[in-house]
Amino acid sequence: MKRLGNALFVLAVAAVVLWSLGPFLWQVVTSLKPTAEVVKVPPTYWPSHPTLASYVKIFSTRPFGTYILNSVVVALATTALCSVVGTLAAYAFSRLPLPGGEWAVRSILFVALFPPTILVVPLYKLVQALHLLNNPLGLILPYTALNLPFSIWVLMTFFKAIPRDLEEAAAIDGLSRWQTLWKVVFPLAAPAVATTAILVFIFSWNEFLLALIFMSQDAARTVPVGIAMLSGVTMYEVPWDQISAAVVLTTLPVVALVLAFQKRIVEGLTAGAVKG
Amino acid sequence: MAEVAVKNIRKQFKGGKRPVLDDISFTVKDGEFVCLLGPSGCGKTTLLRIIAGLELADSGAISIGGADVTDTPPKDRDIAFVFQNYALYPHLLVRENIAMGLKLRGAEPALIEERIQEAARMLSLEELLERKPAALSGGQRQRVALGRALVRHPKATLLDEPLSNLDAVLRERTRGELKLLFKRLKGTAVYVTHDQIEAMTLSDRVVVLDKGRIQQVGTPADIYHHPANTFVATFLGAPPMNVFPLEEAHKARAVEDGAASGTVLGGLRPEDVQLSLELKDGFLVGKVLLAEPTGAQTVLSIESSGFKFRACWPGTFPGSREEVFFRLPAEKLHRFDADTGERL
Amino acid sequence: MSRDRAHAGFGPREAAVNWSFAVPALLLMALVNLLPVVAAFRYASGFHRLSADGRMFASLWNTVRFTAYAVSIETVLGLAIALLLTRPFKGRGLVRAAVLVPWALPTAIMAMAWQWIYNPEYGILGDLLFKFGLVSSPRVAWLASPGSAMAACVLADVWKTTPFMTLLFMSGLANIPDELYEAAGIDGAGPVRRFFLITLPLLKPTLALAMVFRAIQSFGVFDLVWVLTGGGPGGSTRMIALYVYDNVFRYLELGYACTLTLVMAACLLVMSAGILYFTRQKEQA
Repeated sequence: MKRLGNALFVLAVAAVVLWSLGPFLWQVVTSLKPTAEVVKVPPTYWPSHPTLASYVKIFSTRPFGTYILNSVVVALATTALCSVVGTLAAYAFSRLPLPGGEWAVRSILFVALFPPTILVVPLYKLVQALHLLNNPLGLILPYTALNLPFSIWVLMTFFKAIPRDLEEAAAIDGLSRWQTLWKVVFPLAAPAVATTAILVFIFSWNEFLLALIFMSQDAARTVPVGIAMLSGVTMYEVPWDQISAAVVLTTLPVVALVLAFQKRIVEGLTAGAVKG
Repeated sequence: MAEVAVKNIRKQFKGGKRPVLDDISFTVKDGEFVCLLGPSGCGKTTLLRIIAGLELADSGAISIGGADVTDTPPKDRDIAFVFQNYALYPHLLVRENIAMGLKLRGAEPALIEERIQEAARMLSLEELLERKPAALSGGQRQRVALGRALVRHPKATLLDEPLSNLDAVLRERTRGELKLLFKRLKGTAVYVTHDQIEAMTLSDRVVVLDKGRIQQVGTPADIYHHPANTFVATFLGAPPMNVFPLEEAHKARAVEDGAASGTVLGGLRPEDVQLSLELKDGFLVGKVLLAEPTGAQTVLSIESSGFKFRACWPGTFPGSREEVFFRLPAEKLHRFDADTGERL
Repeated sequence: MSRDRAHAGFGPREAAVNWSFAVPALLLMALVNLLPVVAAFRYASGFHRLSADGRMFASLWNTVRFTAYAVSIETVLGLAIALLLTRPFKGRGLVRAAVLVPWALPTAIMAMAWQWIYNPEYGILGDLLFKFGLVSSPRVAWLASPGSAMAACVLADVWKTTPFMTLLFMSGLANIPDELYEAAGIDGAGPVRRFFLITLPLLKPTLALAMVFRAIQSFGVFDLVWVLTGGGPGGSTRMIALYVYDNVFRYLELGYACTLTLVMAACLLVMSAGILYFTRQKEQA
C-alpha cells in the first residue's frame, strides 16, 4: 500500500516536471533536427542526425545577433537603473520618516496592479513625441518604470527586516544618511537587491508588447519580437527549424537563471506578491 | 567623562493615553554608574533613547558635560550606546565594528589602532578582531558591543539591557566583569534594566521608574532599606516585602504597634520576620500554608488568625512541621500612607 | 511640528531631503504610469461609437471567457501541484525550479513553441493524442476552429502561469502550522478531511488574492494570443487588448483606441476594487 502510494507520488512528480519542461524540451529536440526531418510526418521524437545547422543559420542568414545584442543592452540597462532608483526609493519608504510616504506607496502599488496593456497606446504617442522610437532608451525607461513598483515593494519588505538598532548604532557612530545607506543598509540588503535584479532582468528580457510597438525597425528589435517576426519567404514557409533554435537560445539564459537562483526567485516573488 | 543632567523630560507617543515619561529630572554625576530600573513599559528605555538623542522629548532638556544637547543629533553628543541586541554591523569585522565611530570622527590611524588594542585587551577580544559577528557567541558579541562603546572614550556610556540576551550563568559572570570594568574606567554610565539584581549590584545609584514617573532615586542600600513608597518596596527584593493594612495585622495581634489606623499600611521584609520552632517570649503561632525551598533559604507562607504573610527560613525548613512561631518586630516595620502609598 | 516622529537627527525639517531619495523613482513612474492615463483622456474620441461596437462587446466577452477558464483551471492545477510539492523528498529543489521554468520564459516566444505543438501537419499534440487513440487522425487544425482555438489559448496560458499560482500556494501552505495537522490527525481526521478542515479554510485568503490578481493580469492578455492565433479564426479569440492593437495599427484609429483603453481600465478598476477588498479581509483575519 505504502509502496503503491510512493510509486504514484513519483509518477505524479514526473508528470508535473514533464508538463512544465515539455514545450521547452520539444523545441530543443526540434532545433537539433536536420531541416528535412523537422517537417516529417509523423514527427520523430528524437533527431535521427542531431545537428547544429539551425543555430548556425539564424546567425548567418538572419540578424539574430543584433536582436540578442539589443535585448542584452535593454535588459541590463533596465536592471541597473531599476536597482539603483528602486533601492533609493525603497530605503526612503521603509526607513526614513516620510510625511505622506505610506500614501505614496499605496498609490504606487495600486498603479502596479494594472497590466501595461492599457498604457501602451498613449505611451506610444509619448515615446514618439520624445523621438525615442527605435531607440533602446524608448524601452529602458518604460521598462524601468513598469518594474519599479514591484522592485520597491520587494526591497521594502527586505529592508524592514534589517534591525533598526543597526541604523541607530550608525547614527551614534556618526554616519550620515547616505553613509548609512551605502555602508550599512546596502551591504546587508545586497541579497535582496540581487533577487530583485534577477526578476527585473527576466521581466525585461521577456517583454513583448512594448518592444513590438516601439521598435518597428528590424535593427532595433529585441529577441522576442525578432523571433515572432521570423518568417520564410512566403507565409506558408515558416522556418520552424530556425525558430526553434532561436527559441532555445533565447530561453536558455532564463532557464539557467531559474535553475541557479530558484530559491531567491521564489523568495522575491512571494515577498512581492503575497504581501502585495 | 562628564555629568549627565535630565531636566523635566516629558514624552507622549502619538495616540498614547498617558505620557510614557512625565516630568523626569535627575542628574548622573561625573563618573557615576546609574541604573534606570523598572518593570517593562515604565518608560526606562525611552528615557535612555532620549538621552542618546535617538528619540526627542516633547519638552524638557538634556545636558551632557554642562552643554545643552536637547536638539543635538546623537553623533554630536559624544555618547556611546550599547544596544540590547548589540547592533553589530554583520558585514564588518569586529575590528571594523569597533573602529567605525573613531574613523568617522577622523581619528589618526595610529590612535585608532591603539584604542582598538586597548579595548581588546580590556575585554579579551584580541583573538576575535579579524572575525565577523556571525562567528561569535552571544557573550563575545556583547563584549564587542561594549568595546565599540569604550574605544571612543565617550563622555557617557548608555547601556540598554545589555545582559538580557545572555543565559543565566554568562549573565552573572558578565555582570561582575562589567562592574570591575566601569570601576576601573571611572566612566559615567546610564544603564537600563528590569532586573533588580543587576541594578543593586552594578549601580552607585538607582533611579526607580514606574508608569512614566520617578518613584525613587537613591543608592541600592537606600532604596532597599528605605523605600519611598509601596511600589519600590514591593518591586525590590525576592521574595517581595509584605505590605498589609496595619489595622488588619493589629486585629490578628500580629504586630505590637499602637498607632494602627485604617489609613496606614505596614511593610515588613520576609527576612525581617523572626521565626522559631519553639515558643518564645512574644512569639505567636502560625500555620505554614506553603514552604518553597530555594536552597539557601525556604520561603514560608504563614497564616495566623486570618492574617497572611511571607517569611524566610534560613536553610531547609523541616517538612513535617505544619506550624511555626513568629514575631513581627515593630522596629523593622515600614509605614506607608494607604491612599498615596508614600512612606510615612 | 510632530516631534515624536522625529528620529535620530532626522528632524521634520529634513522631510524634503528624505523625499529626494524617492524622487527619481516617483518621476519615472509618473512619466510612464500616470502621464499616459492623462494622455488617454486627451486623445480619446468616438465615445458614441462604443454602444454600437459589436466587435468590442465580442472581444470583451472573449476576454471574460478566457479569463474565467484560465484562472479556474490554473487555481485547481496550481493547488494540486503545490500540495504535491510540499511533501519533502530528494531533489525537491530541482523539481520546484523545473515547475517555475514556464513562468520565467518569455510569453511571446513560448507562444511560438505552442504554435509548433499545435501545428496541424507536424504538431506533436495531434500525434500524441492519435497514438493514445483519442483522436481519429493526427492532423488536427487546433487553431483553425473557434472552439479549439480558444481551448488552445487557455491551455498555453495555463501552462505559462500555473507556476505563479503554485508558488503563492506553496508559501501559503508553508504558513499553516504543522501542529494543526497533527492535532487533526490525533482527532482522527484522514488526509481528505484534513484538506477540507484545515488546508482549504486557512488557504482561502491566499486563494482569493491569487485568483483576483491573476484575473486582472489575464484580462490584459496580449502576447500569447497575438502570436498563437492573432485573434482568429474569425475573431473568436480576439481579446480586448488585441482589439485595441488592431485599432491603432490596422484601422489607424488612435483616438478610438484610447477610448477602448479607458473602457478596459474601467473594467480593471472594478476588479482591483475586488483585490483591495480581499486584502483588507486578509489583514483583518
